[in-house]
Amino acid sequence: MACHRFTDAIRAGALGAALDADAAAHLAVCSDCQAVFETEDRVMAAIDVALEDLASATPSSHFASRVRAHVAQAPRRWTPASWWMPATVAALALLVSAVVVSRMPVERLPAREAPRSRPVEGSGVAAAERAGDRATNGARVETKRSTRVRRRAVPEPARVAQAPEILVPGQRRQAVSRLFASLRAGRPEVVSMLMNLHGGQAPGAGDGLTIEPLHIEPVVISAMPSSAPIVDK
Amino acid sequence: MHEWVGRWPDSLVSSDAGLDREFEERIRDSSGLAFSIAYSVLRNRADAEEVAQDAFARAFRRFGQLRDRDRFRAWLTRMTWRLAVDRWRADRRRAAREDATAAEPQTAHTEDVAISRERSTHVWLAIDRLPDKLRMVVVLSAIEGHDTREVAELLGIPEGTVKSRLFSARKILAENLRWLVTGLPTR
Repeated sequence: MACHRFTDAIRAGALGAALDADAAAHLAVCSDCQAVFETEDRVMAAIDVALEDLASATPSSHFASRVRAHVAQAPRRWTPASWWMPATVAALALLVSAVVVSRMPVERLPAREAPRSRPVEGSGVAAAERAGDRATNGARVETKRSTRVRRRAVPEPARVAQAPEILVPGQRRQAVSRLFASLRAGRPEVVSMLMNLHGGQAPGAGDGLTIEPLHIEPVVISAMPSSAPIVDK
Repeated sequence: MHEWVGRWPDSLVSSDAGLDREFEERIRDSSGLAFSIAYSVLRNRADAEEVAQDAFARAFRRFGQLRDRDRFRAWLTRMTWRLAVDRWRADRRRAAREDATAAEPQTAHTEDVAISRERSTHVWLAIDRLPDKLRMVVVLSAIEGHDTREVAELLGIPEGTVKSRLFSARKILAENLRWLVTGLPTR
């Protein structure tokens, strides 16, 4: 049939698409195409009737109140997101920070970093001087130079020892270590050690010299590196 | 007001009360829409009401999280549709229930009504077989006289897409239902 070329356009027209001029003109004069159009139109009408049934379907009169009752029983899972989310995040962050800080080694805490030389210098040297004063009983021993503590003027390394570190010339490291041990133990030989450090005479056994133990914090006595610049304290 | 509200500070209580009032308005505005959407899928009044209630309950639980409240109807539409389709798929016996509950009074035009009802049943069977995207557009267009712009807003898609989908749906339906008016089986 010659009008087959219009069939699709006519069917589309029945579905609501615009008919072009040629198809419209053909439809006006062709009874077969008019039948096609009417068929499609009746199908659309049947669909619309079914859909009207949907549009006319209404809920029962108590539906809204039942919805309210149903909703009232529903557990509310939300709380205003404006505060609880940030609060939860902040609490978690605080918890994590607390755990991290509590597990951090003491020497890595910036505010708690142990002083390197000054306390030792103060306590150690002063103690040595006091001990020297007592030991010589008038014959003063110059302990200041012997236990002079020097600090490196280089940036502090990342690793910080737990005990304060004292840097001494390499050849005297052992002697200074023994000196501190003796001062801590209150042993009389500290005097002879002090004397020997500077070539002096050791006191005799009958001098009645007594040494009391001194409280000295534990220290680490290290040999001074030869390359490091030395700053006299 | 829910009993838990008493455990929270006043600012939250007032906030909840405001949301409750707002939600109450939403129920007034959109309960018919939710029911119609559910009914379009289930075609059973009781089931549709149940699904619509569930949709509102879900919406209520998450209402505070909805940023754009103007999108509530679109949100509810999608939620109701999903719940209804899930229910429909889970319960293939809905047709039998519909027959059992369809006890409308007989009219003088019994034969016409029977024919009309039979046609309607076939039409709905054909609508049910449509792909979800097309089906949703057909149904929403029919509910409450929604035009293509409103359907586009409800679905969050361009109006042109709605028109295109609607045309495709009607074309498929016409092809599948032509036999209803010609008496000849298609294909």
